[in-house]
Amino acid sequence: MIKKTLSVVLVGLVVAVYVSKTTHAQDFNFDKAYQDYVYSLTLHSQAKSDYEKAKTFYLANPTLTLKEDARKKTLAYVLAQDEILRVYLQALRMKIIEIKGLNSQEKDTVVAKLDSEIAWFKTHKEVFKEGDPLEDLFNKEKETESRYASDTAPIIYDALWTASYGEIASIRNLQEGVYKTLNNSINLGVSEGTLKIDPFNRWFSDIENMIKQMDSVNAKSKAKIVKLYDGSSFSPKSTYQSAIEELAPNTANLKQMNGFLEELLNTINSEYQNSK
Amino acid sequence: MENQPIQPAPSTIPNQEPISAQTPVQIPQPPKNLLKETWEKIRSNKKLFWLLISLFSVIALIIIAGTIYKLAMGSGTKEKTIVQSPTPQATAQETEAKPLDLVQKEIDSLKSSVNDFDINQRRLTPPTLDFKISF
Repeated sequence: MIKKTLSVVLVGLVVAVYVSKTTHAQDFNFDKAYQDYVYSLTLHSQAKSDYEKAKTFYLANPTLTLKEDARKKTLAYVLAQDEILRVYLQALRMKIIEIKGLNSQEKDTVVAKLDSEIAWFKTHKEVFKEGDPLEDLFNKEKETESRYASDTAPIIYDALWTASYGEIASIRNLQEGVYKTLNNSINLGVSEGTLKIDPFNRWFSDIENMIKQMDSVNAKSKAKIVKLYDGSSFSPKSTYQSAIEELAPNTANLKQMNGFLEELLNTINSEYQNSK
Repeated sequence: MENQPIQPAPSTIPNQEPISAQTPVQIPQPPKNLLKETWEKIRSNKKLFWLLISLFSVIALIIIAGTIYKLAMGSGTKEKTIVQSPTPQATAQETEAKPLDLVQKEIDSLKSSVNDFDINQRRLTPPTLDFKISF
């Protein structure tokens, strides 16, 4: 009986720990992931500086002791490189998850790619052993370099582009919500005879053209970013930059759209004032 | 005094109830015995016993989970992250109910969102990496 009771309590404890961990995981957000990234940048920078100093000392005076010190510092540095990439990818992942303007398919596609890279760097860190000679460390770091060039870099730039695209979409969704409200308010005023449809009818058409223009800019930019994966990209960074240049006019378009909405609102208010 | 005749004893004591009619006096049991007796009763009823055990386990688990949660979250003095509540989206149904001055607030908020927006995501610039480590 005591055994049964103990097993019930034990199972309960396991459940309690699981629940606690799940709650904690839910609290992990972009801000925390970004803080982790900033902290890891400091560690990475320190490891790099230590490695460079140790390398210089050894090359100036190639003793066994200095070689051993350089080996240790190199090991610390290569581990820091894997770690900084893992933490950076994690921050990108949280950024994408928190963007409201992206639909679930757009999010899932990028998040799945980021997850696979995060898993690779987590596993690859374990490839480095404490007693690895320098030559092994150099060879193992080549694996990281190769992975970064072939898989990680395109995914990073894809995620960065998706973040910008998603943020624009978030603002656009809100703008379109405001536009609908104003549009309905004008239609109501017109039907009640308190507002005239002129000049609003022409303004609606201008605003809708602006929405179409933003869609067109998005489509052009999207067509550029897909080149990251079709083999036609010269370098992931340049492909990303070209896609961002294509997307950039939408920043100005968003500003102009805000201006249009404000103008619409002010005119409605003044028309109501005049009709009183 | 000695010559006075002895009065015969009365056959019944007046105004006194017969002993058999009196309520028996209950001696209170010590609480320890009472608990022991209750426990034995519960133990003899298997269904009741397991029901109570389950109930107490659940209560204990809730307490443990609460303690773990509190420990994991840190003490109450820890700063809490302020999560900005999402700006409500305007819908057609709200049109009549929503005064236009709320729309002005939404436009102001949109202006600051556009001003804060960084298309180059500078905060998330990839780290500078050096893979050429051989010497």
